[in-house]
Amino acid sequence: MAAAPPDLQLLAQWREGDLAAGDRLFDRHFASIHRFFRNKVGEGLEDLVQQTFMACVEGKERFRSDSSFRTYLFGVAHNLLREHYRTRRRTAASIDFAETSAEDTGIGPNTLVGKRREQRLLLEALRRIPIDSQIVLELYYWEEMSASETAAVLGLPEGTVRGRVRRAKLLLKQQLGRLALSTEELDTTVGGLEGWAASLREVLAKADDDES
Amino acid sequence: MIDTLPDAPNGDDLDTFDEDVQARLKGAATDEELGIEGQRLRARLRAKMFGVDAAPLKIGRYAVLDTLGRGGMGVVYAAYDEALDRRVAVKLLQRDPDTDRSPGNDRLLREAQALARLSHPNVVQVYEVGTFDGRVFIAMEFLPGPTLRTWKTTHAPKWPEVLAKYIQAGEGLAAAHAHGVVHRDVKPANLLLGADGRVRVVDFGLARGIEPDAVTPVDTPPSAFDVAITQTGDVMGTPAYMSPEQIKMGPVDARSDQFSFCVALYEALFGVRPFAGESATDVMLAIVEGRLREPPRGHGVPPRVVRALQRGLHVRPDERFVDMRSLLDRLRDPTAPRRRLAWGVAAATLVILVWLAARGRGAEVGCPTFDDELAGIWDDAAAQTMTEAFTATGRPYATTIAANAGARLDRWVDAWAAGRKDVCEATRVRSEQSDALHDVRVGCLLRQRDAVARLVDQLTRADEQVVDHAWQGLAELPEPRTCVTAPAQGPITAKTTPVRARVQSWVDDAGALLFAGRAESAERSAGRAIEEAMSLDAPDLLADAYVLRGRARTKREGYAEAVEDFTTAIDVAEANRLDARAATGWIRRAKVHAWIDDAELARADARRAQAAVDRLDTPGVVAEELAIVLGDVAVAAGQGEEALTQYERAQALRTARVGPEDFSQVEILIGIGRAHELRGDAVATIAAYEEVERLRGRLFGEGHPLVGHDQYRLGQAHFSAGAPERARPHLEAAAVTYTALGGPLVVWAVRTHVLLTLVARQLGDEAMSLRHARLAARLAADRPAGDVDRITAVSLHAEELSMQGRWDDASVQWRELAEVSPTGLDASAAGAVVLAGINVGMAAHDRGDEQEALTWIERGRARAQLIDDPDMRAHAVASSLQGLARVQLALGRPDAAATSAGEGLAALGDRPIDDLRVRLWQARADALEAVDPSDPEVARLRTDARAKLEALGGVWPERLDPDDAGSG
Repeated sequence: MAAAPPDLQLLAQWREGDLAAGDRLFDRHFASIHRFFRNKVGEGLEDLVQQTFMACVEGKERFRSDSSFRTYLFGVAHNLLREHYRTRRRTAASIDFAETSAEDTGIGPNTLVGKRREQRLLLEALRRIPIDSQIVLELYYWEEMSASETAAVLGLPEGTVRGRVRRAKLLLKQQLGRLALSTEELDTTVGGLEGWAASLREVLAKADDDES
Repeated sequence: MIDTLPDAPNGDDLDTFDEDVQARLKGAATDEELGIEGQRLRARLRAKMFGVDAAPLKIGRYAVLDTLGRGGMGVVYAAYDEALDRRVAVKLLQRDPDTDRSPGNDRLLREAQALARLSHPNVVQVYEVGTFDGRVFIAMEFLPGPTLRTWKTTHAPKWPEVLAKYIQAGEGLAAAHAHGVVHRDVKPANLLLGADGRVRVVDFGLARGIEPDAVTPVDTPPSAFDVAITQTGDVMGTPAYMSPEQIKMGPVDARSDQFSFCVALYEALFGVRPFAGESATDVMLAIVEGRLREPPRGHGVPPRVVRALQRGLHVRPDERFVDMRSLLDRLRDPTAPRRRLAWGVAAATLVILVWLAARGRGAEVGCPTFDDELAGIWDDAAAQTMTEAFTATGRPYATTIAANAGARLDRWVDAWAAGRKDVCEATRVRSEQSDALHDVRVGCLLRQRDAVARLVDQLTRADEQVVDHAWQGLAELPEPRTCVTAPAQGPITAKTTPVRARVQSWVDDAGALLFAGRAESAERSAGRAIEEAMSLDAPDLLADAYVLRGRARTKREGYAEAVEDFTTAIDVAEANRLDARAATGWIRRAKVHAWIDDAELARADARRAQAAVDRLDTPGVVAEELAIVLGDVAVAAGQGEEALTQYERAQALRTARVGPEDFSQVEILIGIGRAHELRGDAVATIAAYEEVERLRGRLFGEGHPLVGHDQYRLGQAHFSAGAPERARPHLEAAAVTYTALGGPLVVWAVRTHVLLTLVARQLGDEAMSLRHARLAARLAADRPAGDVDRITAVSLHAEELSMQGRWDDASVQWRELAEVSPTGLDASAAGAVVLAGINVGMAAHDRGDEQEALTWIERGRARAQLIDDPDMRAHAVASSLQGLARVQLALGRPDAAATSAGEGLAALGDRPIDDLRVRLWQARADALEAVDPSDPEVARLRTDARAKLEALGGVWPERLDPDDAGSG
């Protein structure tokens, strides 16, 4: 994994106070970090994205020279996410990332943007597997990170990550199957909504006529 | 909720799984998928972290195209209004946390809103004032220019042409002043000439802050001159055109604009500025000390204009003209024909005509002003009391309506005074009217005056109801002109006796109460008038009273009784040849019949109304009302083209009478929108509703229930036109209005959230659809259990929850619905309550609780029989059988399951409910396969199901044995 000089150069310039450089770096990675948090938290998305970048420039997290800026950034994001969940659940017993899913945390997704049905199902399935598994899979599928990059983000041995990816895929596949099946079984569409909307138009016209 | 792992599939399986997941995720990770919210977040964070103020992609509903200019107040963008397919200029004011709540900022917003309500040919049209991302924006007419300054250099016009253009600009300023808006930065650069030759004044009241120009072209540094002024700090305006009071930072009013206007006109006429100096400071000193330059010789400009300019340029505001209007009157050539008639209200026209006539004939003779006859009816004190009463109701739109009502009554008083004078002069000056006719017409005017006095009385004691209904009454003020031309014969000749006067007062009371929205009191007053008028020979009053009572009854939805009253009114009117009253009676009857969707009766009534109107010499407003009701009748009969023709005729007539901007145009525009809906023209529908929103928004400001309806209507039109992203902001605005007002409007909030749920589904935004479904259900919770809106909202909420896999939560909602009996409900509601019970069963089945599932599904099957609508009944029955088949399969009874699925298919028949049919095929295939895997029907059913599913746009699920998925 080759280091990406431009990223690191921009980071150095930003740390010197060059806001334009910071802006470029931010723009380059915003979409990834936004995606990372979006499917996991409801409230606080904006803060988490901002904190992630600010933590980088302030150097609060130690930067390991053998990793890329991107893995560093995701590492910071990952820690902040854990911290976020912990804060939310301060009163409850400590949250176990290996056993709890984003769905379980009771936090609605900020935006599930998949437009097509199968996309939505996948996003939903991702939300319903344990957060650790969700993160591993999203880094794998979305960010196309290798096992060693993912290991750098999560601060785990590479072998552990490989095992986790495999287990996560199985969990995802299972969830996906269940979701697909259960939504197929249901007859929830009342079928009258269009007619309902049309009838309201008439009601509205009368409400207005009555006023005039 | 973590499942035990099944035996791991082999590696090959996972590889194909990888491909599948990656294919599905393609697109989910692109920038496009960032969504508007994501893009906004990015812009917000960039601004926060790096001070980058990137051009937003959209401001409100306006798509930003380009940056036009930047100034101290903010940035001006060229933008595109997709809804109306037009270019607009959008000024986005700078966010300044320190001044956000300052009185200055509030004033700015208030003035911009006032400007948005002002429509004048010489004032830039402000379309919308709103907030975007916490900042105020103003969307206005896009005007490419040139400025009057550029025009002067490129066209070298002669002085009369220059004067004419500036008089136009002055008209714009006068109109703005009348709306309480002071410009504060009048200068040639803010006077733009349109391609149509019309001058528009731009940048009202906004040119404040450090830089003198609100808009400086991008990349052009301010001139040294401007920079010199910039250093002076807070002073606003461009120094050469600033008034002395502006320089001295004293109080600034409309007369300051007058001064600046005169500087600009002086410069345009004579080529030099009136106050000279070597530096900006010298110029300012000259202005403050009043060192006015003599115009250069040989300019040819009449002394009248020079003198007017000198007065307008006086150092003391008190020495200038009292207002722009007086200045403009002086600037105009008194021998030239007046051209003010083109704009304004018919009443104002009348005033001028009367004035001209009086002037031509020597107004010294004959008639006084009759001000005393109006004393105490509508004056400053009454206006003050009314405004206070309105404001005291706390309605957010009360002040706006009070201002509109005041203006309306001002115009009415003018028209009345003019009419009164005209009637007087027709006898005494022009000798063209008999004394008797004079008395008849004056009597008519005095009656109108008394009726208006009652309305004013209601207004000055306004409560919420009056505030909410006042605008209708104002649209129906009597027309003084009808008295001026009233014929000698007719009811108004009736001799006034004390009894008659008493009946008259009951009738007037009923009218005023109806106007104030107090339908029940109006009904009582009209009833008393009827009782007394019966024993009196006063058919005119009797007919009026019946019409008023009918209208009051219509308001409380007593349609049958209302029809009776209108019918009696017609009988009385026709027996006494009171054609206008007969026409009104028929029109009202037709309207009620159209409302209750009795197209045939409505059509017959409208024909009779037409005949009655044809008998009238001067149909006036009645002709407009007839055209409207003919449009209503056509709508009730579903005839879009005919409706459009009628409404457009009404529009033409009304426009000729009161102009295009009068708020009485709203009812016609709504009709035009409905006609276009029937014609299937979505674009025209939306355009009409946009216009309704604009006109009514100007009348009410924000927060009025009718403005909520306007937004809802627009949102629904966009939704029907397949544009959910455009529907969204309107519906959100409607939801805000309805929720804020509460009470009977909560049901509209429910409906709006339901529609927003559907909008969100089309947008693919699941979080949004769940949110709105939840809100709809929550707001509907206070409604009775069998209420259609409540059922719709709750079932939608449950459906949303189930789509996100939240079975338990969905079941809670379904259980609630399953308590409601389907008997007597309309098709969709009946279907919803029965399917809800079946779904509770399916959720139990999903948990593996087959016994409970069975109970719910059997119950659903029985309840399905109670549904009246045969299609919905078939749907529900088939659904229950599909569920039954699944449960029987799970209980290991594939034979029974196959039979159930088959019965379900039979119940469905050939009805086009394909998703359910696919599920029944699948259930039957699974059942038959369990009995005998080699059954040929299995493969056939699967092939059919797959083909149908894919034709529906669905995806064939990878078949997983439910047991593999583990137990929940």
